[in-house]
Amino acid sequence: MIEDGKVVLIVEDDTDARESLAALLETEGYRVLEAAEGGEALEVLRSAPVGIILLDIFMPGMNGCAFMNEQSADPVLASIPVVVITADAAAARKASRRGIEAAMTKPVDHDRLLEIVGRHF
Amino acid sequence: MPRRFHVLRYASAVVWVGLAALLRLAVEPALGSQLPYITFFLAVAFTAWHAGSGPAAFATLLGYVAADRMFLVPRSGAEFAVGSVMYFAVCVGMIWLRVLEERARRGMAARAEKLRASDERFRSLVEASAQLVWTTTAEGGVVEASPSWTAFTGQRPEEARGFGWMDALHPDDRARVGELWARSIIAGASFELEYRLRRGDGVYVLTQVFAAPVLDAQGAVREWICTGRDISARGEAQVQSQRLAAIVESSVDAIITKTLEGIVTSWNRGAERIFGYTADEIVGQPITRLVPPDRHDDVPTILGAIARGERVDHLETERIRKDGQRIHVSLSISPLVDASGRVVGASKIARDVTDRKRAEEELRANEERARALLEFNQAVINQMGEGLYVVDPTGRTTFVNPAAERLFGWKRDELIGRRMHDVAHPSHPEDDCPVLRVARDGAPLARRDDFFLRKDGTSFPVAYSVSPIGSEGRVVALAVVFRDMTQDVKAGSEREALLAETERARAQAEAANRAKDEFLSIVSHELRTPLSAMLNWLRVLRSGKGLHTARALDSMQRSAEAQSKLIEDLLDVSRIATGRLRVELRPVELAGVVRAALETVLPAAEAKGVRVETKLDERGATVSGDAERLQQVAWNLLSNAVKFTPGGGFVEATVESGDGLARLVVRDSGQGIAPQFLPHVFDRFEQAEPAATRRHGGLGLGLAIVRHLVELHGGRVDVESAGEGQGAAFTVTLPLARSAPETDARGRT
Repeated sequence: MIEDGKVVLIVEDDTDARESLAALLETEGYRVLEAAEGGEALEVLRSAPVGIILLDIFMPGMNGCAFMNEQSADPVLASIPVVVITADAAAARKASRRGIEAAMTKPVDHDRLLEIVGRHF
Repeated sequence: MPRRFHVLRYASAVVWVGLAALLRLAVEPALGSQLPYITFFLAVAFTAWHAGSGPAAFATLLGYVAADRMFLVPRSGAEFAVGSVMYFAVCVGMIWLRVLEERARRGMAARAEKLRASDERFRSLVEASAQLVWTTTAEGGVVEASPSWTAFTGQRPEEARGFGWMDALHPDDRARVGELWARSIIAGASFELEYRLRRGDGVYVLTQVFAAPVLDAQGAVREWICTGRDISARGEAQVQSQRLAAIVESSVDAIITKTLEGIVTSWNRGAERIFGYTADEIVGQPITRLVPPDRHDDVPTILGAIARGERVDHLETERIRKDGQRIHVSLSISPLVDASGRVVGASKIARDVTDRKRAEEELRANEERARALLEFNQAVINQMGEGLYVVDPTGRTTFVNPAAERLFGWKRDELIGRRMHDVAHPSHPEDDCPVLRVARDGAPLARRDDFFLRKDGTSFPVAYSVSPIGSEGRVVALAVVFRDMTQDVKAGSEREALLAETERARAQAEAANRAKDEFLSIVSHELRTPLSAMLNWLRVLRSGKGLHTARALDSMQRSAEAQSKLIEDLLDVSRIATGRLRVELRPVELAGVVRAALETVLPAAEAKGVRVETKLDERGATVSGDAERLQQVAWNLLSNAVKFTPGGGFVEATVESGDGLARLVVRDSGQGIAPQFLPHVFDRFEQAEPAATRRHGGLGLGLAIVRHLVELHGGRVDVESAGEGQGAAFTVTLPLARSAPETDARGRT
């Protein structure tokens, strides 16, 4: 039922927010991988094929910005599209200037998120 | 001729006739009647000779009578007639001769008398009118010097002889005189000349000489008679008079004479120049034409003084020129007296002093201006707040103004002559002394960073400028103007302090602003994150796929509570900020409050694997407080402890009492607090970690609320931490509730 190709990585430190978003995407038929911070996310990316990354900015450990720097520096991972999802509107605006797929403010517009994610599969 | 003399002469005629009669008688015998008159001829002749013609005529008549009576015998006849006629003829002849002789003698005497009188008159004339008379030969030589010549010239007679007299002439005149003499002698006419003749005392005097020829019968010059007169006095007087006239005429001053009635009688060119009237216009006019109407009173005063024989000297007044211009004149007026000493007029010397007067006035005005300027400068120098001193090029003081005296504390007299460098800033090396440098270089300079010494040894900051005062390119003095900068320095430091304060305030404000922005960002994040989770779960639940329902509800519950807690905290902070947070004080058992708080914290602690230990004094720690708020305090501290303590760690809550105080200590083995952050843990909006990487949620308001609530209860909260990783301990100290009500109750029972 879950297609191998439709893998979404959620990088989010808040457990409730991460799990609720994962559940939402799963109900929409995506396979969801989770990471609580950037370092963990990089590990996941290197071990599994990921179609799109939903990324929080404020996280303990490697935060969203640092993660994007690492990712874009990695030729294998650089092409994976990133959607920034943050509670901070200013951080979202800043992130949108970095050549990312989209920047969204929590709470996210589910339809729009699903539309963006859907475009990549 | 006296009568008696006549009688005697006629008597002598009688005598002679008598004698002749006797003689005839004597010769009578020889002659007879022959020659009766013979002897009477003799009588007439003698009488005529001795007694003159008159008595002789008388004797003739007597002789005829005598002869006729005594001796004439024949009275008629030719013989008689002849004898008588002959007698008378002879006698008349003799008398006639006598008359002739008498007449000649009388004429001669008259001529001699006349000559004598003329001679005397001439002599006295010469003596009266001429000092000097001499004669020369026709050729001009002196034969015998006259006494007057020798007396006048002092030449001895032999020295003057010949042409020696010319030695007495002034050498410069000799040639001229010699030539003139030669010409005049040839001409043979009288002449006049002047030359300087040496007097006996050696002085040459101007002499006027008049020479007249004495001619002989043939008209040739026999000799020259010369007279000389000393005219030096006349010459001098004339020269003097001419000189005076020249002086009067050429004087630049007006020289005027006038009568006592004030009528102008003479007027020189100076007067013409000064007053503009020519002599023709003004002579005969009243002097008042020169006097301005407001000075008319001058004239009677002056004329009165002159009439009394007084002088008026240097009277400065005003007069009017012909062209109407008023001029300042200085008048000197003297009485004019005639030969008898009577004042007949006045001579006036008037000098135009208009220019002098104007110059004097200008000078006075200049002096006044200079004095005013000087006084003004003096006042400025005396009043100026800046110190001023002047030194000579060697640095010795020549002037000090009052402000400098006041600022230095030295009196002027103590400073004059001293080297100001030694007084003002002796610690400076002399080479570096700016004042002395200006003396060397001549270029002014200013300093702001120096100090001067006062008399009492204290120093004060100064700013000063040093200006060279030069004369002909040489520095003759140096003026130093200085200002006590104490107030400026103080004001400067005050300004700096204020600036620093402002800067600090600004930094604080900026920090506060940043903290506020960050806080808002956090608030936003903290509110949006649970909201996001809830909305996500709602979407999942609505999808109706039945997955995760229990988990979704738990999570939504947690999120809603977290949001509620956030909102409560925000409201509390808002109340604190506006002073509207109230507590209701009742006796509260602190231990119970802590236990209630623990209950809400324990699930999270257990979930994290954090051990919670308690040491609660159940009965002793009763405080007067608001149970709900105290529980909030306890919960905040405990949940913080759990939040910042990793799994495997522990949290310990202790409630104890003593010394009238109740204490709640929450200790953990968590990450601790960095020393630099310790003072700020109770500040609002402060969190140890930056928002981007913080591991822990929350607004950072908890501890601020804790402190405020504790203080509302009259207590205090302290924190200790040995550092990061060393855990932390928060201690709340509250005053114990007084047991008075209980005591009262016991008293009543």
